[in-house]
Amino acid sequence: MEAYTFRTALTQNLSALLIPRFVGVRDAGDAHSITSGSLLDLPPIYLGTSGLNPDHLSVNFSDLDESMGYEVSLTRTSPANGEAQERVQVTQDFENTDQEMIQLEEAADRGDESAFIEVARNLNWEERSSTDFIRGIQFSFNAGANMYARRLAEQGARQFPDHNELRKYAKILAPPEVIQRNLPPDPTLRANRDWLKAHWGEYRGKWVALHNGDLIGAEPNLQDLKQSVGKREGILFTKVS
Amino acid sequence: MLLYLENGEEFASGATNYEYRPATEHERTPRITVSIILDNFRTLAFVDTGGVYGICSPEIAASLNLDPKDAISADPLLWGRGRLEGSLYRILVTLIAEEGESLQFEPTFFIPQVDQAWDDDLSCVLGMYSCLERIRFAVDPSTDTFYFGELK
Repeated sequence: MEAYTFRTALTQNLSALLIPRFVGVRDAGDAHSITSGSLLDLPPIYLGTSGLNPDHLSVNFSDLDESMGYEVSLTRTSPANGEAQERVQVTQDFENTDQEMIQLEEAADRGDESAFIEVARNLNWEERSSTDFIRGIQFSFNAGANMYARRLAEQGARQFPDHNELRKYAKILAPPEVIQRNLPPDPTLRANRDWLKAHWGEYRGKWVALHNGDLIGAEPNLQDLKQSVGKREGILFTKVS
Repeated sequence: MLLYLENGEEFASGATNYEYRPATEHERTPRITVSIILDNFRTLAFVDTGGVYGICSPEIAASLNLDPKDAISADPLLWGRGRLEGSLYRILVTLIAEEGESLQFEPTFFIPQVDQAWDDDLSCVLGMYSCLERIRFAVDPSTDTFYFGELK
């Protein structure tokens, strides 16, 4: 027997048919159908229609991809003749996941950083997969919990040192690093600044290229300006906003 | 003159004058603007101590030698102005000094996707978290001077 937890990321209607925590039990010998007591977990809105007995409901599963999701179809059968009366097919975005990750995602979708961090702190990340870490980091971005994203990336890279993607996350989200500090100053900055102060109004909305306080070019977009100026050292490009 | 702590340790190794003006045509509040080199691209950037990451416009990003293989996607990223889809990169940034030493560091930069509702007047922003968080800096409004140095 294998147990699966589903949630819908699609529409409210589908959410009403399959509650987020609906657990289906699939018999290994009958891979594409169940009619078990767990159907009682279906939401009242479904069971209440036409007063159908839950025993006459069936749920069919056909695997699309074990890691990404499932195609699920619901069939409501008539108690009288057993023929299918209605069929609802869900063809995408059912994720094989768990309630904690669902709560994490929901907090992220709401942009509720506090709730997100509370859920994330209660998760036992030491038992989580590399995929969960990457999802958790992505949820962190969506929640605005950028510090937590770094923390997850660091922990994920420690727990899965051979996982290239997590190593990349950890590297990109690591604290900034000073690379070189003894670089020479540039006394020409003042000349460019003075030019901008003097000519701001004339070039508003345009990109300008300046060198030692001289205007080299001005264009509505940067790519055209770079083409007209060519490759030269020490040119300041800025949009006059 | 650069800045030193009471124990003689250097606080700031470089200084530059900054411009103090609104970041975009739509803004009224002035912001500190400094000269930087982003990878090999010299431009101006706004300092945003309430912001996260460095952010640069897709237009500027197209001028940098960025390889998407070196990025992670953020779809989406929640920041001060809403949600944006884009990518996070590590990019070399040089704070250009007029006095003392220029300082090169490697923060995390967010590049919005081209099709996102990005205010393209906001060409480059230096946020605090993941960008300026390991840089010492100070501002002297009486001379419009921005001091900066390495946080050791």
